[in-house]
Amino acid sequence: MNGDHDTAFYTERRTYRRRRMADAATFVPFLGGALFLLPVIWTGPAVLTSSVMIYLFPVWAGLSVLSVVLSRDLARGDADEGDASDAMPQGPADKDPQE
Amino acid sequence: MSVLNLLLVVALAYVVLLFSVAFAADRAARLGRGGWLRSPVVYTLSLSIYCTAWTFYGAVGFAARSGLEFVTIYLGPTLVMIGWWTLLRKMVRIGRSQRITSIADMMSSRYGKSNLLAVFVTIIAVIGTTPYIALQLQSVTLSINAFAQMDPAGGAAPDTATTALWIAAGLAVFTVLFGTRNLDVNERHHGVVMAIALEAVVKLCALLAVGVFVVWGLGQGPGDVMARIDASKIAMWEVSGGRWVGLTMLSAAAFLCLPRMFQVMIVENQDEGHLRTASWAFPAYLMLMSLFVVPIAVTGLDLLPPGSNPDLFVLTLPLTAGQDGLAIFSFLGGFSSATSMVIVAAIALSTMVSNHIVMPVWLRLTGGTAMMSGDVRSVALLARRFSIAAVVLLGYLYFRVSGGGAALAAIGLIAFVGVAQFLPALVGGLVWRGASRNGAMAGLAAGFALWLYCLFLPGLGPGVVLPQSVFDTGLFGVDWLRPYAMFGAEGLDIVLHAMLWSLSFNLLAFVLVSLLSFPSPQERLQGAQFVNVFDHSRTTGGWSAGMAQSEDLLIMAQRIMGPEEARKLFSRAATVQGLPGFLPEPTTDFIELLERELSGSVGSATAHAMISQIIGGANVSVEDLLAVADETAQIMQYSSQLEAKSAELADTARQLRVVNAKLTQISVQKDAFLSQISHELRTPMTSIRAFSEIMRDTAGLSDEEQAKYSGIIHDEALRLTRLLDDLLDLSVLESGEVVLHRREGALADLLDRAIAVTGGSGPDMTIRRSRPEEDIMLNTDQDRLAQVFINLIANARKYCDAEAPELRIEVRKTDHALTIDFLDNGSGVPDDHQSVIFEKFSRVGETKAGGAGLGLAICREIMARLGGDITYLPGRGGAGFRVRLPLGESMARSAPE
Repeated sequence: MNGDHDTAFYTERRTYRRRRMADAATFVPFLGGALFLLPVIWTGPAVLTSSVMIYLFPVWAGLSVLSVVLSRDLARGDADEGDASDAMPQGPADKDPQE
Repeated sequence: MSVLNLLLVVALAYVVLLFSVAFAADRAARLGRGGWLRSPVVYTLSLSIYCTAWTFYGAVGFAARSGLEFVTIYLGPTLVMIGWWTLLRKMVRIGRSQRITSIADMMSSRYGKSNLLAVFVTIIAVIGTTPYIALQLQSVTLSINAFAQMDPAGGAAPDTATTALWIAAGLAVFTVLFGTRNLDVNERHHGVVMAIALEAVVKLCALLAVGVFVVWGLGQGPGDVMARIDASKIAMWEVSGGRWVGLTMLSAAAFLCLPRMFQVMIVENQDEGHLRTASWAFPAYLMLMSLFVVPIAVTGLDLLPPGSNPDLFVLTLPLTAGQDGLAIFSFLGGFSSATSMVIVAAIALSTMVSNHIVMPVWLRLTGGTAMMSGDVRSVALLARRFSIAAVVLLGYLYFRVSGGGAALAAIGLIAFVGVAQFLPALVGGLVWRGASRNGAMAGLAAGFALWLYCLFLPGLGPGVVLPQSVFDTGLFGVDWLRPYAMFGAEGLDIVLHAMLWSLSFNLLAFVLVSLLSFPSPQERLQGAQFVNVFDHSRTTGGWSAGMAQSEDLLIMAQRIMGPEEARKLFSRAATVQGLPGFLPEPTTDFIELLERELSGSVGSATAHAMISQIIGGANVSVEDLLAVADETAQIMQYSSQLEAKSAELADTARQLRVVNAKLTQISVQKDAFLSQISHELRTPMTSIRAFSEIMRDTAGLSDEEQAKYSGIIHDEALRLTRLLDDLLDLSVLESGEVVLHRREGALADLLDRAIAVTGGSGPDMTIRRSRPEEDIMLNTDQDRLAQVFINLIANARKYCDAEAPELRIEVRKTDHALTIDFLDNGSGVPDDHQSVIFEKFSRVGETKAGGAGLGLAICREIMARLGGDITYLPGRGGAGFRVRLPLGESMARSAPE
């Protein structure tokens, strides 16, 4: 960590949140894949290319924005600790009764 | 000035600009002012080489033919980028920690630094990339021709082959200039990256400009364009689900596996944090690139005469509308797309070719030693320059041979499927420690073969490589081996078909062979380091230093990195180790550092090989270990022999000491004996001499006196004789020359005889015996045993000082021995004499009967000869002696009853 000794509650929350952000970052491509593949099942006779465009481009832009949010939260210095490993320096904080 | 000429001038100016930007960026980086060169934005823009001329021109053509399907080519990379946290971050981390120089290096490094695998990957990459380079050349020539055709001045279209040759030559020069400035790929190509970033901006702006012009210039805004789309031939959403899914996956795979993408994404990456920005900025870039593709396509279809090449709508729309400036800008966009791709692809491929093919071959040809031959650095640079030229030339040749006939997009997809064959081994190696080199080789081979057969070779057309008969009836007439309908998969889209079979068999072979093969230790080590890179992203490991000569390493490093750099590195390491001067100790850490630095220049496999030549294969093989073990065993055996010998010597010395001590003791005993003897002899001799002198010299001796003196002389002579007899007897016994005469005889008779000889039982000495116990037959030397008994009884008579002397003779028989005790009732032998009474000349107190002190010594010797012994029995009231005879020896048995 960056050596900030805030309250245990604060640190614990941040750690927890960063881990969930890492989970989300893992999950996002699957969400994106599902959204991108969704038009495949639009097999009705009157589906127009233009309507697919109107669906697809906003979804695309939305994924970019989501990625902005996620990558900002997985803040730079914490990248390593945010890894799936649970053996983190502040491991005991996880068992903090305040959780 | 015609548009065509203007175009050429602008294009030349643009090229000059690119050179200047690249030059300036290189210069700034060298002067240490390159911080701004390394922003995440530049990194993101450099990723845009994914969008080649195929994208710039071809996407519109793709859209004009099959509607929105073109977008799958961008959806795949988008998914990979937004999933950066899982996969790309790992690849970048590995690329940085292992100093990876190319995708071939990555795979080789993962699978035990196997150069064979690297060569294989390189060959596939070259085969997959060459058509792609041809495609870029083709797009540029096509676009120039489009201008020529539109030129109202009617200037003849320049010869496409000449144009392509000039472009190829220019690209080769640019790439050689800025791509091989540094040998160390990890120092990155600032100039190239900067130029690419500029080109990325140009192509995006150009496409957006054309899009805006189409929507708001030619059309009346978005609503109108949407209506136009609905009215066009691609209005209906009738995309094939299989192709949509398949192409998305394919583009995602290619995004990871394309050598040029790997180059900018992993190798040129300066900071893992840049991925963070790229994760959203690059998808946004791709979205913008594709935003206007469909509008341009439908507008082109609508406005341009039927039969126009839809691949060139981006160019021909502004041209026909008289927007020459926009058209030229658009041309620059396409030109940028094509050139940036060729430049990076040439760098990536040349790195692979020179590191994994040219350098190993050169090292082998020059005797295989990194020490003996000339400047490796110049050889490596030369190899890379020639490789760049060769790669570009190959692309040009492919362009000439293929004649530029096929639709652009088709070539692009074929190349995608080719490089996607890397995916199983690449990603498998990152997440699965069990992935082995043999598995990777098998998977690549299977996938590559199927790709060649199902897509690449058929793509060249019937009759070029594969005859028409193969298309109709399959290989060797086997129906289910038809290139477009393998295993009966009839009616599938050909790209999808090839992708399905090649990747399936690739994956299958990869997994199966990995499961069945056993990787080498080096491979397993690297596998663990790759898969668990986040746990310990440190080193590639494996050097046990100690033998390495720092100077040799320095000489080699100078050849590769250049003298300045190498000395800097070495002296830095020396400083870290706290040593003066510039030669560090060849510690494991230092050698690992050096290997990583070198692998940045010549690839991990070559660097490993070169260092191991100097260190002497410190990465020991099992054979080496066995040899060492053998040697150790020999040494141990030898030393144990030495040990045994020295123990033997010590033993001998000890024995010698013992013998010496014994000899000394014997010598002392001999001296003591001699002095004792002379004393014993002198006493009677003195008496004899004295009395004989009296008798001779004194006249008138009375008869009584004469008788008395001669009696004394006679007694003393007898004593002398006895003494000499005893001595003789003792010496015979001690020397072991005595001959025993064994006879049968009863113990009682023996005792009777002994008592009779010594004067019998009488008032002066009462002898008590218990007859029944004495009824024992003995087979022994009767006379000698009797001698012992006589001696003991005589001693008792002589020394027993009791008022009424009494001697008890007790006989006892045990299992193994017969004991005969002689116990008198005198005062016994004083304690301090008990230990010496059996020694020669030892006498207790004054001699009453003139014994020489040899009796007990003789008894002891006799008993020893007879196999028994004689001991003094203390604490029995008087003197007690025990004679012990072994029963087995003496054949003692009860007398006949």
